[in-house]
Amino acid sequence: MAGFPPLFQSYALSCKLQVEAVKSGKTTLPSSKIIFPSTILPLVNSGLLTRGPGVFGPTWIELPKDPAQRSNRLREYSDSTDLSQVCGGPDVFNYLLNEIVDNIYQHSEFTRAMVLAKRFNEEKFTELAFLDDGLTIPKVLQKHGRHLNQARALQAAASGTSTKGPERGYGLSTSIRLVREGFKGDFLLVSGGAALSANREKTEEYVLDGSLALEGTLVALRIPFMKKVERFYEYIS
Amino acid sequence: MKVLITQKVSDNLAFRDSAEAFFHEIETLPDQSITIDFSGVKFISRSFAHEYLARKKQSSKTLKETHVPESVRKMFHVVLHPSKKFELPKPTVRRIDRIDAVFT
Repeated sequence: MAGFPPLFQSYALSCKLQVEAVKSGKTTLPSSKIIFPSTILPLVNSGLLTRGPGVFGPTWIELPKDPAQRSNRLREYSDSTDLSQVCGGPDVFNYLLNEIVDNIYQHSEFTRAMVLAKRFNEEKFTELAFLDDGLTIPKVLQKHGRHLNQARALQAAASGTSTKGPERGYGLSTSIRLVREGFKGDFLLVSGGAALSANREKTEEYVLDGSLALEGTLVALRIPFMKKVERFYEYIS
Repeated sequence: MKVLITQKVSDNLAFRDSAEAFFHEIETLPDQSITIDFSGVKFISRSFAHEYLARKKQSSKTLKETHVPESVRKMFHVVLHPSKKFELPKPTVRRIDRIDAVFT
């Protein structure tokens, strides 16, 4: 059987560490490995990692519940990470950041939500991760009368199905297209008991049992360094 | 009457419900004809642009835009001329019942 994409393995590592932490009573990060945002945020959400200045480089931000604070918080974070120059330029970077965060506010009814973006200079890519502890995508669809199995629910959301009508749903689907085709990068969506992984080579869905399932939603993007994305407006149309 | 959108919302027009709130305020203004000044806008998301245009269509006011940056014009064009929604290729489905299987 073919291996799993590195981005999904990074998420699965967080699950493995959580299981080990429960057994041993402490969280031990592998010292020889780079730790990616898609590993860090689930550990933060589960309470196994707390804010440690400088430990992981730029720290994550907690999205405020008060909508009035979020624009400034996101913009401060965007400015502080200075990642737009390797993430297609400010318009492209802000598009990915804001469209995915907007989905969190529109649908998840979260108690806690976080964003972490980090560049990996030797590997020449940036990873962005977004995690909320709110309603999973399957539950959001069920709430609006769409009863799909978990994997199908993720695929529907990724293809632009929205509970808010046919003119909606472009945020996630265009973001996936932008990552996959514009950057030739990797996209991962984990929500409840399912995950969806997409890049140019393959698209896979995973049915997740037990400790691999997530009570919430994780969106993770791994995008190769790129100063500008040609055809940006075509990808998001 | 002229309204500077960066003053009412932000120079970062990111969130759909910000557009909704903006139009709630527009509807309360006494003037029937209002110019929305986009001077200083640095970014607009597709979601905000979509909500803005939808609300503008429903508005009781006569609205026009001025000093619209090129990035905003392009985003309005994208929203007004949407393509068929992008669909991923049909995925392979795999069931994973233990964590270690992911790393072998």
